[in-house]
Amino acid sequence: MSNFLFYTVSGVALGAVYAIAASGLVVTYTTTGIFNFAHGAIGMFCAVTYWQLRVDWGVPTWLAIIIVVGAVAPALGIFLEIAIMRGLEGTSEITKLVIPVAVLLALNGLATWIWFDDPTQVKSVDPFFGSLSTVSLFGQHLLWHNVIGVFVAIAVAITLRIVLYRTQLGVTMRAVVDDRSLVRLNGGRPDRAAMAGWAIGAMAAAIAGILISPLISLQVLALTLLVVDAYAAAIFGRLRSLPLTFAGAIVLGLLKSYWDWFSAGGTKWPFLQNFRNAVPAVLLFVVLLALPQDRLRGAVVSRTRESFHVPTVRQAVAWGVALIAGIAMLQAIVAGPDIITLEHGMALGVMGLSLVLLTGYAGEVNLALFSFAGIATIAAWQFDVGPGGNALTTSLSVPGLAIATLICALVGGLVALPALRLRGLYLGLATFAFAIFVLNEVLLQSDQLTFHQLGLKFHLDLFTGGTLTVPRPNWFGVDFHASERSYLMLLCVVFVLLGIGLIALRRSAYGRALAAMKDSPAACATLGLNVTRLKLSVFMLSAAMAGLGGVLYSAQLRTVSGANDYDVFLSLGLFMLVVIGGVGYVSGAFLAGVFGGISFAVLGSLFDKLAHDYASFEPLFHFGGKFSTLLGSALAGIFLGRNPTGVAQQIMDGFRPLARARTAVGIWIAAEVALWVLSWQGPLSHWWFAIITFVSVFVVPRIIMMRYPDRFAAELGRPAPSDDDVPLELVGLARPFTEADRELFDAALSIAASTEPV
Amino acid sequence: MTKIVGVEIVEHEPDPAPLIELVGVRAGYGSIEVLHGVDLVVREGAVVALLGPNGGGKSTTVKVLAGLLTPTAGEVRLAGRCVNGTSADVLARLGVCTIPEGRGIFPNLTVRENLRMATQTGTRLSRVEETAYARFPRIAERRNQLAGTMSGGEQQMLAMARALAVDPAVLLLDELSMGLAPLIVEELYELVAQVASEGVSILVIEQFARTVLGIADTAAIMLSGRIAAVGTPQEIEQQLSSAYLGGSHE
Repeated sequence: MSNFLFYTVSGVALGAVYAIAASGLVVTYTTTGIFNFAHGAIGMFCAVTYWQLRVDWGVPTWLAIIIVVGAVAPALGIFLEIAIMRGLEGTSEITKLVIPVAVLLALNGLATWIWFDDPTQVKSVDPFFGSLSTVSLFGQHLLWHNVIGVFVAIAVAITLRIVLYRTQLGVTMRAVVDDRSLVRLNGGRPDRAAMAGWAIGAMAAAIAGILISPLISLQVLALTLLVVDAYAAAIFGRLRSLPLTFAGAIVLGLLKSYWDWFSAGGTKWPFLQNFRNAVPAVLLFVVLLALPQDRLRGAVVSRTRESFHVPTVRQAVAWGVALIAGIAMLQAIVAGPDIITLEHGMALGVMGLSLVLLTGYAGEVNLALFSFAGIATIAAWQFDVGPGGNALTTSLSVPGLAIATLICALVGGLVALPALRLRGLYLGLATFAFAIFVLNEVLLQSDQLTFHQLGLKFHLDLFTGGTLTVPRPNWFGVDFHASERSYLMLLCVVFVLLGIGLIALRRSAYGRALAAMKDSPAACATLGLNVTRLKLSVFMLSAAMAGLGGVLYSAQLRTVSGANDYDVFLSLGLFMLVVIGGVGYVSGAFLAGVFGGISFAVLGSLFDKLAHDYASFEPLFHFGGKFSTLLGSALAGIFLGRNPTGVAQQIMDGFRPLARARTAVGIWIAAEVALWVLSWQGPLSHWWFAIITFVSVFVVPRIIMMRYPDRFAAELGRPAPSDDDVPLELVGLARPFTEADRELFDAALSIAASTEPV
Repeated sequence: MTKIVGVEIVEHEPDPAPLIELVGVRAGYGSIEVLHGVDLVVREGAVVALLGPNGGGKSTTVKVLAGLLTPTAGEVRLAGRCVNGTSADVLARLGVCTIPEGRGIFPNLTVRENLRMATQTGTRLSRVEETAYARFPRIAERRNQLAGTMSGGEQQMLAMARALAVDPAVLLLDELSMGLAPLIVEELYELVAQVASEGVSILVIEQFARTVLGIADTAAIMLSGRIAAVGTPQEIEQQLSSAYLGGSHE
């Protein structure tokens, strides 16, 4: 009985903290319509600021709390709203998911930069009044810290209830969600309400962060994942109801606490030793499955313009050949370590292709890409190497790769079961919960799993020892183990083949069905399409692609760590980068690989080299290096993630007009090839070749356009020689609407020529 | 004397000052221009009906007047002052009250909270409630109900109640009758007539013209982003069928 009391009281105390975090999430979501993926990261950032004030600078606890909760947190919330989130109104659901993810990654990068050497480093902070200060309740000794937590949660609940339902500001905050422009028509100021929503959300995150950091650990990644616990609680109230959210939080706290009791702190069943951390994810999955959801929503037609241009298969083949040729030329002139960087980018690109299919073509979300990669890697390793095998003498077989891919397809199907009912945000969070489950229950299983307690004799190696050495293939007589250059070309060929396959798929009846489902599942259903089967199949196909790419990614790394190489944040990052690149395009996945694997790494090492060469500027270059490696991709996400069609389309749109000057482009390409030959043979240094190529990409198109002003009048901003070629229905879109057009239309529609003022 | 597309009206009395004026207003969405130079006047205490078929630019005109859309050319004048680019919330506080197309309510707030939203313009909640419940006893019974769960007619009444409780100078009504039973529409327009008699200037936009013409002082037909005709309700009524069915409306 005393155990029951103890674990119940501890569970309530833990639940109280989750309740505070979850209520902040709900307030932000209900007042701005944005699910703040960075909620945990804001909590983390504030908790570390509190540590800085209280532990490092010795500021009194009460003052540190006032500074963090009363000033830093609301300022951070308001800053995020003004600088980033305000622009998200009316953007697609994917954009609303990607930008907060980018903010999460940015806050993590910033905290790591300022306070930690790496994201897994832990700082310690004492509970309020110290770890020995307890109070006796029902015969149990409770930490004062936990008691305070419960009272703070109650105070937060009451305050939020009053603010949201009894004050003008609160009512306006809720009204903004219903109809932003109607609030303005009533004389209200929606921007202020949104700012208040973000400030309150951030304050709740800060309180939760400060309360929970002595209970778990003050660490970037652990605290950032608080968002999942908060979300699991908030989903009880369907991200709307605060009382149900509080109930959900207490249930979650109790479940975690009782699990500690039943599993004797995780020691009873070794194969479930990390299950505690997966409890919120499991609960989230169960609740998502149990809750009634809106099934088909046909009325909500996307108001954003995301039109992806689908190339023909012939164009795709031509681009594929060009890419292979380009990479072959590039690898011939770069040195060994840079080949590995290129390989890494290419491997990420292959994985990113699965998102092009799932998100770009079908409009669904998967935030567990690296979890599939991890599962596929284990499967391939078990098949080809196995426990006790030597990965260095074995090679990756086609059947091994096929089985890994197949297993991923099946697991993908299982994950997709809730997806059949969920869409957009809910689905994204369900897959993220799956990623956390896989991380804790599969990837972090560094001990051999035994099941003696269940009366089973067999044992299982998942990530025994924490790392796996993954074999590389030995196909077509090429030992990809020995040659990095060959492996790079293999990855490139796989990328091109998969890319062409994807484009062929998109142009098939199946691809059109996917595009239709993305636009309106309800319309699809009325046309007789089986939406359920379609969703399931595309999720399985995409998971299989993620698995295939994942094995090649792991083989590229050669030795992989379960804890680091399949991190849930890597999945978030890659998802963000593919969206930046252009999630509807194969080239978008390629760009994601370039961003994620190559560009920021190259920038980072370039700054390191500069810092080494020019010692007097070392602090400056060091700053640049840190900036690009820790914040580069996150900031790219914040600034570029808003463009719904991605960078790939922007680049293509920039080059497309050049088709009107094929000869000039031909000369340009020939000149590039000549420079490459010079670089390859030695006379021209690789750096000069890179610089000339980089500059020419920006300068040469402009020169070509200026050389032929008649052909590129529109691009040069000059009046076209004749507009007769613009069809009537495109006037106003292809070129501005003029007075002459007005008269032409009037005459055609027999409308009175002019009307004088009344 | 004013020439209006071939119709000449002889004006006997000096007109009251214009409260709202659109002068050569052009506006649109992105690169698509919808209003191609609209001229319209709503004088103090007048009820102007703006009629016309779908896609003519009526709702866009309301959006420009309400401050939700900034004109690309021309001027919007409120009591003689140019208010181009003034935001909707400022205009609302200046006394321009808009009931937009669809239901102008917040479905996830209770009736009482919806009324509370009207207090942004400075009127006290108790006064807003008093006025609203006196005009519409039916919504008083539902004060703690979520507005989205009421019937269409009740929702429109709530929208009207909220708008009228703040003593507006100008009332812009966009498609009040949309999706409502004829009896309820009649009831609502009786109320509009009553409000007009209290001296509030009103611009009513309707696809279904006859109901509105009964209460309007002036009517205008809008076609293809331009005012095609302006006149007394009787004159406009004669031109209506040609306006809706196409062809000449001379």
